[in-house]
Amino acid sequence: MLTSLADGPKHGYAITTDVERMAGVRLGPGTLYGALARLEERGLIAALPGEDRRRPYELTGAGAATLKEQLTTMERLARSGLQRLALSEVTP
Amino acid sequence: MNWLLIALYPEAWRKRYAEEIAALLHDDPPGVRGRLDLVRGAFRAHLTPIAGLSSTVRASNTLTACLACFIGFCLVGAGFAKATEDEVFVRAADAHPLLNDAHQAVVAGALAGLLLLAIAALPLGGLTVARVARTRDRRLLGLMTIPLAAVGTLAVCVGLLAVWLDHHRGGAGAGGWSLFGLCVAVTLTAAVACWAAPRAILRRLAPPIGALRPSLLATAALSAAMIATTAAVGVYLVAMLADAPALASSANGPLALASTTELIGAQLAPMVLLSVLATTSVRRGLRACEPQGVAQA
Repeated sequence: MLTSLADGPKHGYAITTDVERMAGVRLGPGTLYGALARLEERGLIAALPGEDRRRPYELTGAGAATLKEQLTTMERLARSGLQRLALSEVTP
Repeated sequence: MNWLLIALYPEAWRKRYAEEIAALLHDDPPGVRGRLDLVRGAFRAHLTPIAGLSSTVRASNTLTACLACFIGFCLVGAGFAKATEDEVFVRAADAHPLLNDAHQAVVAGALAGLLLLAIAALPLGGLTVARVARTRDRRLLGLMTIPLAAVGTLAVCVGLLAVWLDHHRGGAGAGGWSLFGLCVAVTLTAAVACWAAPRAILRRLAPPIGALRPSLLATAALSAAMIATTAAVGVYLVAMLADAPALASSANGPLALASTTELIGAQLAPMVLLSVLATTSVRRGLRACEPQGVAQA
């Protein structure tokens, strides 16, 4: 969900469709708003003034830093895993 | 249907997110899985405070949540007391020390729980009386009398049922069953009243966090008493299965439709759930009282 907000503010439905497109997982409404509330509680996202009933959310500075840290860790892990896989394919 | 599912969420949550969830459900109508997800989300929302709630509101919510849990616990506990009141259970307890010890532990836990509830209510009761004396707030005074009136009405109904059964030992008859139905209805009404009135008093009183702390500590002890009582009921069930299997398999409960094991097992499950909910809520409330929680307010 943090990744979904990385390119700009989105409201609930836009986050659901974006996450589904990116990760192939469809978030239920209870899961979505449970996660939004937790992220808001931790100060990683913030609600913006509403467009009618739909309130968009944006990444805060802390949210962007956390996302960058998580993605860097994942990237390092993925790179390391791919290197080991390649090595095992070369070595009989 | 959607508004009903949203109504399952806590009030503070609904104030913050209901409009947004309603808009989302309008844009993307949920199927069965989506609806189940909302029910699960509502359950978790009751366990997770939302951002922006002051420490006072969190502490007050903890007190009312624990009160609700304890009232439910008392109702289930009354069922346990009723299921194990017959002479055969007394004789079995005399013959099997573990059964006897477990039963006494249940009674001790229940009494400790009631005492701790009174200790938790004392500071807030004092504040309420002081406020009524100072401001002549009639609404507050009315709210204070509701639990007393509810418990009094329940005592009268139970007394009437006891007198009826004493005079109709051959069978309760239609009058007895009517009185029993009345007792059940009054019990449920009294349970709701004993929860709703203190909740309304807390909202009207809006006491500072310092005034809520002693009640929260007593509530923490109350949740521990609930856990201990639940454990004692579990030990009682195991001891009965091991030491008195005939009693365990004997018919029990309303119209003798279940065995004693099934009945106590069915009582143990909500006891575990209510103890866990109360403990979780207390942890949340105590966190709200910590310096960081006070600073957030």
